[in-house]
Amino acid sequence: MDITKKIGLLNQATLESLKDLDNNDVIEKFNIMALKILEADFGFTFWKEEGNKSYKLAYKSPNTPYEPRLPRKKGYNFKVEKTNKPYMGNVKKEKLPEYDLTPYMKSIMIIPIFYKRRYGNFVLCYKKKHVFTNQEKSLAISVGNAAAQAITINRLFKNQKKFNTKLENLVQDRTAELIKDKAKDKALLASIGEGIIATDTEAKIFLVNSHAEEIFGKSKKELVGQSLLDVQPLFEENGKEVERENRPTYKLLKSGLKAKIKVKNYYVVRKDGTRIPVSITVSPIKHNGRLEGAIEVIHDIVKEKEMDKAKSELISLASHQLRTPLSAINWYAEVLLKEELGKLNPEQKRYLGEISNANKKMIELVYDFLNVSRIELGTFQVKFSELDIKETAEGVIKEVMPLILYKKIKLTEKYRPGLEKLMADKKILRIILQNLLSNAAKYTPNKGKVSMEISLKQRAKNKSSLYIEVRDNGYGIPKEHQQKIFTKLFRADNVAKMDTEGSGLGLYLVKSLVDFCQGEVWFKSSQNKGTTFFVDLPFGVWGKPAKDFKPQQETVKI
Amino acid sequence: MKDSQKKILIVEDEKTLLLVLSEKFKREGFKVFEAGDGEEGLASAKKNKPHLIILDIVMPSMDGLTMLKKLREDKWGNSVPVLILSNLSDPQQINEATGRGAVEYLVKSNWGLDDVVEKAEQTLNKK
Repeated sequence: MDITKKIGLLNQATLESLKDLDNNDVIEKFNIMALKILEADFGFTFWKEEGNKSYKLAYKSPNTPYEPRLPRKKGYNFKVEKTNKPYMGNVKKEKLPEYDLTPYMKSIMIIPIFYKRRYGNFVLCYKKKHVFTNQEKSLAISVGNAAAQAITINRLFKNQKKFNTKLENLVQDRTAELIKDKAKDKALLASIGEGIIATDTEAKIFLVNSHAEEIFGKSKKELVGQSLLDVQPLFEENGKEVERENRPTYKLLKSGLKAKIKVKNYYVVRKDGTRIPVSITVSPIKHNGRLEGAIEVIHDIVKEKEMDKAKSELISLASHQLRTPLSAINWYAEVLLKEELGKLNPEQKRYLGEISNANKKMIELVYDFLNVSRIELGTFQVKFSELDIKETAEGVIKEVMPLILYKKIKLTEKYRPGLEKLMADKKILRIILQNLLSNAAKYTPNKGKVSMEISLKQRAKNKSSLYIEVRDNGYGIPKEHQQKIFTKLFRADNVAKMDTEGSGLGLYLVKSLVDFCQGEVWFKSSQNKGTTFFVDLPFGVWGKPAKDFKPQQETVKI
Repeated sequence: MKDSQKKILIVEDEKTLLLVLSEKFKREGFKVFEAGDGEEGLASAKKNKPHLIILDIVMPSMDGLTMLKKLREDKWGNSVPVLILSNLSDPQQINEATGRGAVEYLVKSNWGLDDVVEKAEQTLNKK
C-alpha cells in the first residue's frame, strides 16, 4: 500500500468519524484503519474514560488470538504515557508465562490517542518481527491525533446536541407552561365579571374578553384591531356622546398618566340599541416604566343602578309616609293653638304647645334620620343652586334664634368676603350649620357666648375650600368621650343629663356629610370651657364659587 | 269681602290634611274646591276655574305631576298658578314640578298653615 493510499484511508476514517458516530464506532473505525495502514496483524484499543484512572478494552480486532489483559504499570502501554509519542519495538519474552506475549506477536506498536488530553492507546500487533520506519512513526502520530481530534469533535458535537436537546426540552416545557398560562389567563379573562379591553398606545384594541363583547354587543372580530375610541362611543346620562378628549382611555394615553382613571355613569349603546350604564376604570400598561397601552375595565352597573333606584324610592316613600301624619298633627295643633276655633284655657294651651313642640322635634328627627339613611345608602343627591353663604347662614340662625334668645346667649357672626355667590348644595350647608349652631346653643349655659365664622380658604393653586368655625364657651366634651363624638346615636354623659332631646344623629350626620364632600371636621374642647368645631369643605362635590362655575343644567330657585 | 271670594282648588288625597287645609282657607275667606286625586282635580279645575291650585304629588289614580302636565296642556290651565304642597323633597321631583311651571314647591312638614295661606295670598297678589 503506498503512502497516498494510506493517507487517503486516514482521511476517510477521519471524515467518517465526523458523521455523528458514537465513540465506540470511532474507535473501531480508527483501529481498523490503523491496522491497515500500519500493516499490523491484529490489534485493540485501551480506553481511559475522563476522570477514570484505569483502562478498559474498548475494541479488539476479531482475529486477536488471545484475550488482551489490561495494561500493567511496567507494560508497553505505560511507555507512551509520559511522552505521548508512539512506542514501536519488539516484544520481549517475559519470565512469567501469563505476561509473555511472544507466542502471539513479535513486534508491537502503541499509539497514544492524544489531542490536548489522552483518551487511550491503539495497540497494533505484528505476528512477525516488524521493522518500523520513520514514515510509519509519523503515520502513527497522525492516526493517534486524528482519532483524538475526531473524538473531541464528536464529544463537542454530542454535548452541543445534548445542550440543544436540553434547550429544546426547555423551550418545549416553557411553551407548554406559556400555553397553560395563556389558557389560565384566557379562562380568567373569560370568567371575570367585567369587560376587559386592552389597547396599545394608539388606542387600538388588541385584546377583548367575552364580557366586553357582551357589554358592547359586538364580537371580538369587530373590536380587535380597531381604535377603541372609534369603534365604541360612550354616552353621558343625557344621551350626549362623550367627546374624544374626555374619554378616560384617551386621557390616560394622551397624558401618559401613570395612575388609574375611574369614571362612573357613562353609557354604552349596544348594536341593538340598548343603553347600558357602565363604570370604567382605565389603567396604564407599563413596561420598564414606559407606557405601552391601556387596559379598560368596564363594569356593567345595570344592577347597581336598579338597586340605587329602589333604595331612593324606598327612602322617598318612607319619608313621605312618615311626614304625612306629622304634618297633620302640626297643622291641627296650629289651628287649635292659634285659637281659631275658640279660646283655650292656659293649661290647655300649654299642653297643646308641648304636643306641637314634640311633633316638631319628631319632624326634625325624621329629617335627620332620612338624611342619614340617604348618605348611608349612597342615594344622597347633590343639587347645585346659586346661593349666598351669609343668607344661608342667617336662615339657619333664624331657626336657632328662639333658643339663643331664650338662653340669652350672645351670638356673633363673621363672614369673610368672597362668599357672596356660590353654586352649591344648600341643604348640605344648612344641615352642617344647623347642627353645629344648635349644638353650640344647646350645650352652652345661659348668658354664654357662641360665635360663628365662615371664610374662604386657599389650600393650593386652584384649590380652595369653605372654612367654618363654630365656637362656644359651654360645657365642653369630656375627654373620654371625644373619640366617640361623631358616632351614630352617641351622646356624651354630661349633656345627656341636661338635655334629653338630642337624638345623637346630629354630629354623625355632619361627619357623614363632610366625608361625603371629601372635607374634614374636627374640634377642640375642654370641659366647662367650651368647644370649637372646625369644618373644611373643599370645593368640588358640594359646591364651588359662582364666578368660575358654568351651569350645565338649569338650576332651580325655590 | 277683601279677597272678593278668591277661588282655590285643593288637590289632596289625605283626608285629614285636606280637611284642615280646606277649613283653614275657608276661614280665611276663600271659596274652596276639594279634590281627592289628580283626575278629580283636573276635572274640578276645568269646571270651576280656580284662581289658584294647591296640589299634592303622591296621589292615587293620577299623581300631581301628571295632573300638572295635563293642566298645562289646557288653554285655560296653562296659566293658572299652582303651589305644590307635598311631603316629597326629592330634588328630582322639585325639578320636574318647577319645570312644569309650578310657582312654589312647599314641603308640608316645613310649612305651617298660616305660612301656606300667606304664600297663597302672595301668589294671588302677584298675578
